Amino acid sequence: MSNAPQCPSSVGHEPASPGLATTGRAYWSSLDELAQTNEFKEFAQREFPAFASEMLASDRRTFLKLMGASVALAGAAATVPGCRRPDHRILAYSKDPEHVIPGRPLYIASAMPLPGGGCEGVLVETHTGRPTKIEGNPLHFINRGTTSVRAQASILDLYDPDRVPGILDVQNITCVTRKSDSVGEDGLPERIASGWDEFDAYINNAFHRFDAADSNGAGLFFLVGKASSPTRDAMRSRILARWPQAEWLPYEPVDDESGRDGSEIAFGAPHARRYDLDKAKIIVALGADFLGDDGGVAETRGFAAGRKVNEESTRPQLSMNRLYAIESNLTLTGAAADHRLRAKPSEVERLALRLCAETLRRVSAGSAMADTAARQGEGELFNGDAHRNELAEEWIVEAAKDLVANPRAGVIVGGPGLSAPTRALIDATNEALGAGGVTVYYTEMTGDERESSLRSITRLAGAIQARQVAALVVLGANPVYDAPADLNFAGLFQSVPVTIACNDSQNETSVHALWSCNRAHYLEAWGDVRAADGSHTIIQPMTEPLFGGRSDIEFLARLAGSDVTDGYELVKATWTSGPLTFSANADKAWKRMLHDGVLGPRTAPATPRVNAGKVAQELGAWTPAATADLEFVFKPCAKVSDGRGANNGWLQELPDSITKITWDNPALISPATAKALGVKDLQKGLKAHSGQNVTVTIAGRSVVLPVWLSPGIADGTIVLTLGYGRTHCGRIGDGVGFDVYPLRATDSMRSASGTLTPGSGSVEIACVQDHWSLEGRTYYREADLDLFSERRSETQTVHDAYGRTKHLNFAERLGEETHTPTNETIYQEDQRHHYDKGPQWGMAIDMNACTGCAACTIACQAENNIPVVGKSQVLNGREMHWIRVDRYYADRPFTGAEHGGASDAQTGMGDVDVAIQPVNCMQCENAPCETVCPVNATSHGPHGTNDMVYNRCIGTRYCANNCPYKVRRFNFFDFATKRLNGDYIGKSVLGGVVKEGHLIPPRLREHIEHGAGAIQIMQYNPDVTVRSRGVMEKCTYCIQRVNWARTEAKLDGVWGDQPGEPVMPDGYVKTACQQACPSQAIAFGDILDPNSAVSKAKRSARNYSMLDYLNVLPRTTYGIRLRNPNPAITRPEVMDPFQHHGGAHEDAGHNQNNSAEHHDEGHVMSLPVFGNHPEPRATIAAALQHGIDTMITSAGGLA
Amino acid sequence: MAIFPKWTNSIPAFAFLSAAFGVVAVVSGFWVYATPKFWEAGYQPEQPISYSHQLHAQQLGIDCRYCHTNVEKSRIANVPSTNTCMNCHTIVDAQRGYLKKATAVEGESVHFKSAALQALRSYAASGDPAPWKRIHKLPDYVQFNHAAHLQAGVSCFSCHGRIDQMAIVYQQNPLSMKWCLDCHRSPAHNLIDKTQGRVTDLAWVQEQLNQDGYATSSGSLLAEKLSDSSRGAPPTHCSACHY
Repeated sequence: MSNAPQCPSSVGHEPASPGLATTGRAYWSSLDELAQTNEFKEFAQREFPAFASEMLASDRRTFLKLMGASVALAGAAATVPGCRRPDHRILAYSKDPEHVIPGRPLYIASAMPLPGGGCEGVLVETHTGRPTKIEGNPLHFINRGTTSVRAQASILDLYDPDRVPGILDVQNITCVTRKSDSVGEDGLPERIASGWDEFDAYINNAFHRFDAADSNGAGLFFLVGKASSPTRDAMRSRILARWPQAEWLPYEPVDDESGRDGSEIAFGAPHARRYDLDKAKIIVALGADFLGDDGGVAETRGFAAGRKVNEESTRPQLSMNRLYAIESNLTLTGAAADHRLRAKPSEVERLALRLCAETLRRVSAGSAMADTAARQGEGELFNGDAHRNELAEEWIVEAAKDLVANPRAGVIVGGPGLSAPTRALIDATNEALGAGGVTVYYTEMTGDERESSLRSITRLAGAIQARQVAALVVLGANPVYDAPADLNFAGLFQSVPVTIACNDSQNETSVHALWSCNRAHYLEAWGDVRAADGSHTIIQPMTEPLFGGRSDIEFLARLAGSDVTDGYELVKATWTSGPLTFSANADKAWKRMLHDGVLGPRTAPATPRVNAGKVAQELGAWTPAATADLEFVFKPCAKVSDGRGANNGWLQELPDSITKITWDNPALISPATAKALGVKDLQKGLKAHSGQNVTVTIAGRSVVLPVWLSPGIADGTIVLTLGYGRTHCGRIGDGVGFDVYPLRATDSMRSASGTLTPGSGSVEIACVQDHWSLEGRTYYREADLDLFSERRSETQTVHDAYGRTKHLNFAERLGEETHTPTNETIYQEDQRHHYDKGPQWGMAIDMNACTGCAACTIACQAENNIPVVGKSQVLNGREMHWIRVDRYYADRPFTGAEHGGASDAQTGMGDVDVAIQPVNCMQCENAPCETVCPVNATSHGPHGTNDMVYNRCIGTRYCANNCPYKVRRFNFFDFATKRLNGDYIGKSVLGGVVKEGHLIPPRLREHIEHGAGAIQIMQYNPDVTVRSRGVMEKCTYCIQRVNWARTEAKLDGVWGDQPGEPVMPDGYVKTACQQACPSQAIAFGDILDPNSAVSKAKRSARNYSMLDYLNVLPRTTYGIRLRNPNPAITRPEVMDPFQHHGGAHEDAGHNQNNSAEHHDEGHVMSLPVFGNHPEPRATIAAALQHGIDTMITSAGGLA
Repeated sequence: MAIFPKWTNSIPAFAFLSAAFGVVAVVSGFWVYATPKFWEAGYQPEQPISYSHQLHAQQLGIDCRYCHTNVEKSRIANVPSTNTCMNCHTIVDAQRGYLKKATAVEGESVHFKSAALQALRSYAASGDPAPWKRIHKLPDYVQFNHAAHLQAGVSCFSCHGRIDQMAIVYQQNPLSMKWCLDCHRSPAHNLIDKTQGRVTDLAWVQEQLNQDGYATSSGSLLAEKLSDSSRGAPPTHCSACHY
């Protein structure tokens, strides 16, 4: 109901606006909700959108494709009732491998190399040699046991059937293909299946000519994806030793060019920066999304650690870090910021210069560099809006003051969108602040990292044009798709006589290459990698290459003609006989390194001195880009990266952290700019959930794509997301989204100016921001740190709705708990389960630490066999994620009435704050879902979990209707197809009717058996049931882990069997989301154990239950977010959070509409259907007066 | 004049009785024949190798855990690898002491040349796994943990019966949900004092459990100890097995 009350005491009110929730602020999930459009109301009112229950007709083919690929068949359970199941075989090992115990996972330490260098240290869960899940390696310095979204999703890439071209034939895998002379239907040359032997023979023959003394490799070019691998560096040396004239060109489409060049200016050699944010009190992000695209798990963890408030402290003022951000797009960093300035890319640069100048001046007056910077940063911003300029000036000054006031505890993080001189200036400023060696570390780049990607690709294009390239080897790169548009690389590539592509999967480059080879996934090959902090990890294979691929080092070793081409031997040679040899007892050290998965940095990080003169000189000689009316930002997708993750269904279906868009990349534009440019919005006839097509033109190159109104983006800025519109990546990613690489040129790798013309038509966008809407009820709470410090120990004693005395803490006082009218509960105390025996599982989610990265969602998907449903199904509201990350906007009328004469408030046109809240099943003690299930398929366990019994569920969906948190998910289709092809009774009869006795339709069967399914089931977690059509599912608190831990604790002898003792040590069991969370925002454990982390979190003054007034007693509770604004910076007026109805609070005020009849019984949210309530009729009568819903009427009949 | 002959008067009664009988037959037939007890218990497929538990476990006295090595560590009681079989069948002979009771094969290597073991030898030679047919199979939505049951003191006997007496293994118990719950609700009938270390000695276990009043004496003591403060009591809630 769109007119549902925000608060139980405001029954009968039409909400003036959406979600006048707590903290005196209005939160809204979308512009539609803000405007309360009819489409939104209709959407929110339905549990699922119209037609969601009907069989999908239009797009059956796509659906089948998806089903085959990301979802597949379960083990065949007996489906014909009563029949003897088909014969199952038990295939035991012939020789037992060491350490493998069937039924127990084996964790192996390895590392996932990151594009461009660096890695994440991981533990891979394997079941009898089958990798199923990625966890962070607790010993690894980068991960510390947590993982990013991409690491979690990388397991699915291993099982991607499109890694090899054509139909997957398990007996005869085509791992190498060769281009033929004939052209296929799609206009591309047809490819001939080949093999490594043929390829090797070809290379021996064809590359022999480069050995000649007059050649020495001239004309041989290598375009390689950047990697920080000592062994691969050794292979490069071998290649260059054999062919000294050959050129080795490391290339990444999205690379931090300015960071590399800037550090070269500052330090004389390229250096990588690494931030230790947990030591920083003041963090300034200048166009840097260090919590998202420009950072990793280490930055997120450090930042979140600095957000933790020590509530035990007796000091009057609590402390935590403060984040300032200046950015064009609204990123996760901007969402986490205490102060955020949005500006066009060119303006971000100017503001960055000014901020550095201001800071440098305050550190040492009369700095020449500061003067140069200030001069370069001069000029009017924001289209000459005086008020905004004034506020920005104040912002800059106060941020600089804050930095200087916190010596050795502040840091400025520069983003890749800035120019090199500015990045160097930031390094100089950080040095002046004493940040070097404390909050920022520098490591000199080695190997591939030293090279500029832009120079590599430009050099290659130039060489091809000059006909210097005789043979080109492309290793782990896709230049045909992602090279800068002005190089016209696709055409150039085809003009090279010999092209060899070796990639993880087929791509746009490999379909044009003379030879296309399959590269081994990191989970199936030996390798090594250096992390950002200088530590090393050996990459271990979990399985033989599934598709017969070769790893980088094996591929290169063969090309170089080495005697040793085995991956293991190559890697081991690096570590036991190469330059990195362990000093003593190499063999033991090697084993230790394999076991631990990490070897600490070999050299201590240096703190190089900034060459101030050089920085000032470069700064003075450079001209900042002029501000244009319309500026475009190119950014990699937070999910599919530069496009390499495009065939990963999990990533495609993961809602973007800010826009909440799945399966698409519309151009993002601020509502105000959209209005100015004449882009249609919902008020002007745009179809709901769609984006109007626009033509974007940059330097004469045009692309047509839809546009999406996204609040919080800088005005005059359009954000274009790279990585979509792939044409040859596989069945999942082909044709998803729009390719914006054709707009990106060598002079505009990060930003550009251009024009946008609204066009005709629109594209449906599967955006989940309005799904699972709580329709404005109070969900999110936040407060300022100062207020919290001052009043955190206050409590308020109230008699709650159900007649109990409660002492409300700070967070609870922010919500409706203070004034919920009396009510009855259907859960009579004596009938309730008493959860007095441990363990009692509970969860606490700290929204102060959560950055919204969504690693939890993917970790959950991997752990719990959650299917991918596809774009059309997401549009129908059928996405299956068990833990969603809700994102709300809240207006921040920064410019107020002065701006344009009208207030920005409540329009989404101005500045917005972002609120992020992960929501999973709350495991309510009084679970509303359980009371309505007709078949007891969902019921309560003795340890406080709300259990879901799939085999009992008949699919009425009553539970989902009755769930106030909307966390239940329904299998509308048989995402897990069953197969019945063994021996069973009646096979002879059935076989006569159905071909081969199969019970699944032939077309689908063909797809599953010969297409993808067979391989993808290998990813499934064997401890979790694969659900079938018509079954409800939801978060289980990872009950499989909990149950296994119960057994394990007993086997380990750590089971506490004395009364009062916790049954297992705190942290003995972790849920998948908790384990993955880089910011460690999730605590899970026994709430009866007073010393457990979750109990401590729940005792915090920041802890509250969502929708507490419903008396469902959720086990998952939240810690409110604290903001830490600088009091010196002018802020919009924030209402007193304790007066959260927007004025003095009196009960009568809530009941204007029915004040005459209102006897303050409150509105009945639940019915006394059993038990001996004194006056049920009176209650029902009161309820009828309130006119709540028809359920009351039927209950009246009962009474 | 009657259009219908008189005997037609009995048609309604006959029809009624037949219908009633039919309903009873269908219901009781379904009741009996569509239950796990009928369909599951007694399943005795032919195996690729004619392995006899009776010979190995009972006559030779090999402990269950010699082959099912992981039963105390894992939810799965593994089927042994071919190598485990070959431990004896290639190199060890009766006099070297692996076997408690020497039988007819005394003095020779264990059936090294036996024709009945042709299949085993060929699997060992080729490295292909023997395609054992699975007998005890729970549906995919049921999770069973061998280690947890042994830890609690439930013997192999309780679910698998006297498997040491089976020449060809068959399923003795229905393994239905009711059958599981019967024991979970009153475990005293099936708990064995595991400190004696004879949980896998099926004859001894059977003898113990069949003593008069076992469930009310030793069994109930064990059950009480297990469920002390309800921490280790056999769970009966849904998510104990279904997830």
